[in-house]
Amino acid sequence: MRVLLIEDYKPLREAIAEGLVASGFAVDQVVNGADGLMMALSNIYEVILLDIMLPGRNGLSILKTLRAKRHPACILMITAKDTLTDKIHGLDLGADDYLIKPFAFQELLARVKALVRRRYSTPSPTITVADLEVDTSAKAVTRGGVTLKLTAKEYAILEVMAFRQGQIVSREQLWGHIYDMNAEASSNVIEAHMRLLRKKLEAGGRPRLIHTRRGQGYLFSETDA
Amino acid sequence: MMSLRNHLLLWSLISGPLVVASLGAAAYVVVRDRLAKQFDDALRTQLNALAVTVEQDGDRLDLQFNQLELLLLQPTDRSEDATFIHIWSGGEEVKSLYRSGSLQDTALPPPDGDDDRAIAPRWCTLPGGRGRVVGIRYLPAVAHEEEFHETPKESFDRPFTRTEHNERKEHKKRREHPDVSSPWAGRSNEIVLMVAQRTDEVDDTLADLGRMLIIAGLLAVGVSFAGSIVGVRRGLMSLTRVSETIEQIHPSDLTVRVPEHVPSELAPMVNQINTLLAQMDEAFAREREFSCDVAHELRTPLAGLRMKLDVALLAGDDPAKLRKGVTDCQQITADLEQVVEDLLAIARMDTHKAHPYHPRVNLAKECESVWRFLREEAEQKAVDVSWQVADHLEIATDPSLLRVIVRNLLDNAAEYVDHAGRMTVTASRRDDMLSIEITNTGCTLLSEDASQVTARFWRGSDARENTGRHAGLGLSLVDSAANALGGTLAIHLRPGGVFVAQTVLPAS
Repeated sequence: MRVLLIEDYKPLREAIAEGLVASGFAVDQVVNGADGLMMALSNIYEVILLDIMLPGRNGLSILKTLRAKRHPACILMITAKDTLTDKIHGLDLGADDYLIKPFAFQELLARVKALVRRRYSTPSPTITVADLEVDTSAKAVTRGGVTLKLTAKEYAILEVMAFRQGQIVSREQLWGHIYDMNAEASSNVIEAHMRLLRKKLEAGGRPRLIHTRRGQGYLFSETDA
Repeated sequence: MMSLRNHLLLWSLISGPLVVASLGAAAYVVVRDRLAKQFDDALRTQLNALAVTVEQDGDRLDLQFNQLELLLLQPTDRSEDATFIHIWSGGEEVKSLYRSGSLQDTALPPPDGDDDRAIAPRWCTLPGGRGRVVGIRYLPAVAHEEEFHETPKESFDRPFTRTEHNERKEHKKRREHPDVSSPWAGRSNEIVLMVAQRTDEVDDTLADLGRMLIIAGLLAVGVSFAGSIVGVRRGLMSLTRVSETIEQIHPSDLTVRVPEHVPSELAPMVNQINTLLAQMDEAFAREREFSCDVAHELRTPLAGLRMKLDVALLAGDDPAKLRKGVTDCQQITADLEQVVEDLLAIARMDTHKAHPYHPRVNLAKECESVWRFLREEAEQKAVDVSWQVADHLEIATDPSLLRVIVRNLLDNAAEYVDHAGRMTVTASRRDDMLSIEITNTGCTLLSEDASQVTARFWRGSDARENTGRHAGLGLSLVDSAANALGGTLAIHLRPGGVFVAQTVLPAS
């Protein structure tokens, strides 16, 4: 899952990004409002973490613009402005959540995960397809009751596919969801991860759940239809 | 304490009846005296008419009343119209010489010891009621004696003529050499004629007047009472409005203003209150804004600190990550410490009072001591620094505040000067003022930002993106320090991205 972090205070920005990356998110960091808006409009993000008092362009102005353009990302405001009026104003403009500084990283992480679920209209943290269960909260995967050991990227690919089960996901989309802007794009990397993921999912002769659609991408489904 | 309304009402209720009663009493007395005077005048006219009918005939008096006068003397069924006559001898020994029948068993008051001719009217008791009596002291006409036939019949209420005076002397002589066989022996034949009439009609009129005045007075008191209530209520309406408005004022909302349409007596108070409210509102707004800024500027580093610690703990046993986390936290706490120190310094400077004694400080040496810590950074940026500060230039000032000014201006310039850019430090003295101007190239601020750079926590985009070291308090500190020294700080931008900070301070 890819997150855009727009925050001008460097230590905070770096710490949040480091924590989210460690938790399996791809994070793009932006220092000012103008760059943040440009990044939000030109990339796919599940969640945008947005400060209010930003150089270049105010966070509320960015929020307003994104919502006017029907941007699908869930937006979490992270700000020191703590009055009820500030919160109401932010939520009224289209923010999905509001977190007041200072906050614990675990709280931020939980909220980000909740927003990801909201983004894909999946209220439950556990996604089940056939005998496969993906626990997005614990980032754990079991199939037929057996826990699968996946790498961070394999899990990230499976999570994206699980949230979008029944839909064809292109390699570019997968790339966009699991790598940040600093990664060098390569379709082979996705294919390599996919191959390893399938191997783990289909261990013991279990039925295939990730199907290839030539020229289109991948389909995560119980049946290849 | 009694309310103002009750106070005013009480005094209105007390003073209203008193005024009404006083006016009523005064009116009653004036009318009574007027009626009494009219009555007395009429009575005196009658007295004068009767006086000429009295003649002395040897040892006796003859009263030659005409028919009308007799009628007046007769008691009738309307006895209040009767005239009461009593004649007293006017000598030293007062004797009753004649009483009219209407007096029945009573007598009119004898003349007093005064020698005045006219006897002042007075109240008296008459058969059937009270009345007024008037009298006259005079010499009656002497029957069959030519000299007394000339007794004037006009009013006796006048001074004695010379003739009358001579007569009085003659009578006096007779008193001194009396004829012992005469009833006038031992005394003058001067008589005192007292005439009285009942004042029933006047009394009735006065009683009617009294009743009328009491009723009118009660009505006036009632109207006065109602008027007082209405008047006090209307008069205090403005005060009540002001009071109610003031009651609504709360520290959380100082936008309320007292209505200015008030009586002129209240206008200065209302104006003063509104002015104070506006000032308080402004001060509270500044305070709120400042508190908000402080909260924001402290919360953000705190958030960074907490986030760094949380993320470092996520790293588990990785010593490199833990070490980096701790190092980052050290830097953040240093930033926080600087923010707090700057805020305290500003607070101290806002209440700073100039020290009476200011030592002389060499400005060049002061700049050099500050620049030692910044030189390395400037050299790394290959900055061209131009010093135009005379070695002998001295200023008598508070050294600690001057240090704050020099340090922050140089630090600001060294931080924001562009790579291979240029800095100038110029100091000059004109009259009693010292000007210190520090410029740097590479400024990306807009011209409209120049007026904001001294505001607390204001930061340009460059400063914000490099947060940590800059909290937007440096120039605010310089401004406060310059003000504390009685000087000023001016910021402006020159073409080519040149940032100019000029402070002017009293030099002695």
